[in-house]
Order: sequence, then C-alpha cells, then structure tokens
Amino acid sequence: MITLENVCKTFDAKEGKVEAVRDVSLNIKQSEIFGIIGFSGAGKSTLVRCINLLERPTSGRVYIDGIELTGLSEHELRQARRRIGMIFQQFNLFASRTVFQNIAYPLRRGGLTSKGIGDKVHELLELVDLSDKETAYPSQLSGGQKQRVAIARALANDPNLLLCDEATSALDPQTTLSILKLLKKLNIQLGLTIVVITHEMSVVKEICDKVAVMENGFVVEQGEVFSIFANPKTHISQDFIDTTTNLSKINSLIEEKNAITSLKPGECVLKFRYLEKNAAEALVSTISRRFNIDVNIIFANLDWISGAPLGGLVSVVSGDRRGIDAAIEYLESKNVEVEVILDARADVENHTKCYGEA
Amino acid sequence: MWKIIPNVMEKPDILARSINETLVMLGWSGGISFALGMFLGVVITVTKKGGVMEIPPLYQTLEKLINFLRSIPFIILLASLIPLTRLIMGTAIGVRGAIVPLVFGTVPFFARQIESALAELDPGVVEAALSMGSSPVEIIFRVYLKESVAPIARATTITAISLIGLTAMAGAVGAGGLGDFAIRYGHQRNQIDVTYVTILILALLVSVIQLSGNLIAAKNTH
Repeated sequence: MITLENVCKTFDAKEGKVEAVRDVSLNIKQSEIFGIIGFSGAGKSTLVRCINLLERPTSGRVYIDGIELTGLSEHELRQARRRIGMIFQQFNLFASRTVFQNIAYPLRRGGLTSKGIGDKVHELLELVDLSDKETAYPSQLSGGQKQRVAIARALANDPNLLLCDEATSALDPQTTLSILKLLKKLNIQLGLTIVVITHEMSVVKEICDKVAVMENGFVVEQGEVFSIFANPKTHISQDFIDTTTNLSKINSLIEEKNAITSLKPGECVLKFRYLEKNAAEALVSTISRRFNIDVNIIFANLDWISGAPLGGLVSVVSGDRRGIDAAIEYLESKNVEVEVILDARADVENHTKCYGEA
Repeated sequence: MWKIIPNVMEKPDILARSINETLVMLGWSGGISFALGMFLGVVITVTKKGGVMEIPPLYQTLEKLINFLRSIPFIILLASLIPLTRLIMGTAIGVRGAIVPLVFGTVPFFARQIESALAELDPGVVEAALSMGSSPVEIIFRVYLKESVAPIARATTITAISLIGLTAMAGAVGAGGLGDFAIRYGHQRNQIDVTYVTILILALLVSVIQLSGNLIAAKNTH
C-alpha cells in the first residue's frame, strides 16, 4: 500500500547539511500496523512526514496505493492528503473550537449538508468512545480524550491510512494502553493501515505487526515484530528490546556482586530465551524432573507478541554436571537459546555451549 | 458646574465638535488601518520562510518597508506626507488631511502586532491542518484568523489606543479633535480646566476600548 523508494531528506542548517533520512526504502501492506522505532533524532518523525509529504523528500519516491505522491501537483497532493489521517504527540487540536467543531473541520469543504456533517461527527465520536464530550473545548479534556478527538478528526474523511507521530508519548502508561487498544480496534474494524512512530518498544510490542528500527537516518533493521524480538540483528534493536524486559538486570546484579550471584560449587546461572512459539510447553518443570536438577528462577519475562509467547528467564541451576549438560542440550533441541552467564560447576572446562551475545 | 469648569461650560459646542472630530478620525483611520494592517500582518506571516505560502522576496521587501515606516516619528511623517495626502484626499488639512498620515502611522505598527498575534498559534496546529489537506487560503481564514481572535482583539486594543494618541498630534495639521482643543484652549489660553476635561474624556474613551477588547479576548479564550 505504501512504498518508499530510496527516500532521502536533507535539511540546511547553520552547522551545515543535516541528513535526517538516508536512503530509506519500505513496503507497508494494506491493513498492517507498521512501527517505526528509534531514539530521538533518529529521523523517524521526518520519515513519517515524508509519507504525506509534509516534508518533501530531497530525493526518492513515495507511492501510496500505486499513486506516486512525489509526482503530484500541490492541488492533487491536497486531495490525496484528505485520504491520509495523521495524529500527533501534542494532539494539535484547534483550541478555540469545540470537540464537535474540531472533528467537523475537515468535513466543511462542501459536499455535505450540516445534517450530514452532524451525523458523521456523531458516528466518529461514538467510534472513539467520546459521545458525551461533543460541546467541550480541548482545554477541558484529558490527554487521552484529546488524542481520541484527534483520531476522530483524522478519520473524518474515511482515510485508509493513519499516521501516528509519537501519538502516545505525552500520555501516561494506562492512557497509552487505551489509545493503543483503540488503534488496534480501528485497524481490525475498518481495515485501517496504521504507521506508528515511537521511541517505546512497548508500543511496538503491543500493537505492531512489523517494525523498522531507525538510527542516524537509516533504517538499520526491519521485519516481523516477533522475529526482531526473538532474533535482533543489530545492537540498537537489542537495546530497544532490553527496555521491555528485565532479563539484562542479571548483569548489573553480577557487577554489584549480589548474594544471589555468589554460587555454590555445582551451580550455574543460565539465561534461557524462547526463540519459537513453544513457551507454552512446561519446559522448566520438564527439565527439573527429567534431569534431576533444581531450577531457581531469578528473572522471568514472558510476553505475548503477535499472538505468540516470547521472552525468557534467568535462573540459578544446581545439580549433577551431566544432568545440567543434558538439560541444556534438551532445551536447545526445543529451540531455546541457552546462555551460561556464571559457571561454578565441578571440573569447569570451557563450556562449549557457551553463547556470546546474540 | 460653572464654578468647577467655567471655560468648558462656555463652549460646549466646540467641545462636542472636537469629540466628534476625534471619533471621525479614529473611525476612518482605524477602519482603514485595521484592514490594511491585518492584510499586511497575514502576508508577512505566511510568506516568511517556513510559512504556508513561502515567498521570501516579498517577505523581505515588506519587512524592510515596515521597519522603515516605523522608524519615522509621527510628527515628521505628518509633514513629509503632505504632498501625498493632497494627491489622495485633495487637501492636506483638516480631518480629511489627517487620515492619510494616521493610516501610514498606524498600519506598520498594527501589522507587527498582528504578526506577533498570529505567531502565538502553535505551528503544530497549522501542520495538522496541512495534513488534512487544507489549502493555504483555507489555513489563513480557518486556522490563523479563526484561532487567533483573542490575540487579534488584544492587538487591536493596543493599536486603537495608540491611534488616539496620534489623533491628538494630527491637530498640528489643523485636523481639530480633542488634542487640538486641549492645546488651543487649555495650554495656549491657560484654561487649565479644558485640559483636565479633555484628559478625562480621553481616559474614558481608552477605558471603553480596553474593556471591549478584554471582553472579546475573554469570550474567545477557551
């Protein structure tokens, strides 16, 4: 549905040229929720503005539904933009207009009678669950309510694409969740394609099907959310994933020489990561029973991503050396990545199953 | 009354005429300046770099013109515009002769006031309108002007009050008005009560303008 071809955007600043977006090519399919994640300054907000040409790319092409947006006249572009909704971090509502008038803004272009406009606004208010706020002014609304109004306004002309620029970054975690649920509902109910710009991996995890990771203007990695979480190929993706789990806390516990990390002989600290959709199996109790070892879980993090469980756990394992080795082998055969973090087993040799950083 | 303000009570007809002249000057030059200043203020807002109708050469030219006109003290502007006033109005004296210099003195000031009023609008709101496919003209009327009623009302109040000050100086070209009344009788003939009454009337006028400005601004702030 959206195709970006080698899009570049360069700004002229006092300090010289700033390359905000560098050679980005993306494909976003109909009815997909596509996340673009990056730290601030990575170029993601500029990139999303290149989709509806609020920023005209310095070079490269943008296609939406087969139409080359970068080849349209200003007038044609305005027509095209009416079919692309956009919402913002700061909501950007009209402060001097009521909720009703805000949503009616894009509808007042002729073609609709005032009754038609009223009906449409009410329908949209119902869709975003805000029917009782019609006559309120934005200043009387909470952040979440403001974003709902902004979503209703963005959907007024029945677009099939919604661009969200950090739409939940100014909201508290609970409100964020309710807005994400609303977006997911719109995606399913209306078949809406949604592009989500964010710096929060939890947002990507919550609703996105696919994700592109941006750094210094480049898209460094993209793919299915599940496979990026399961198997990140770049450092920055790993950093983002770490923000959503507590598994890496074990490293700081070791640095702090926490009591739990001072192992007795025969024990070791292992990190298991589920790489495939098998976490539903009772792996921990299986290995402790079958190989006669004790598994003491220190950290555990399991998440449901794109309909499949993903995550891992860090545990202190004690028992017979052979039992532990066999357990590791068994887990690996089940596609669980095992990393030996600390090792105090008897007759320690260099353990061949020791994995480096993935 | 005769005891407190004898000199004023002696010539109520002249006082009434002076008030009328002031109001006529205020009305005409204010109305014309409002329209021209608003237009100019909007034009410099939208044509500057990053505006919705970016035209840098036009912006640069208007910018310099406004600065130039604002740098001329009004009393000098009054004198220097005499030939132009005569060309436009047919005369350079009286109330008619005062309107051209009053407009020239007010428009650049008001344009700047409008520019800063419109600058109060969050650029994100303009961006949202652009993302909804609004044209530049639509953005001027439905976003900039509609969303800025309160700051425009405040700008208009400030300008109108400073315009009252200018009309007093316009007495120098024989435009009459309250300023002329106070100078001629209160100062030159030492009828001090005339000066005080004039001050009171002007204070009343300013209060009325300020109050209505505040009211409009408050009504449009949500």
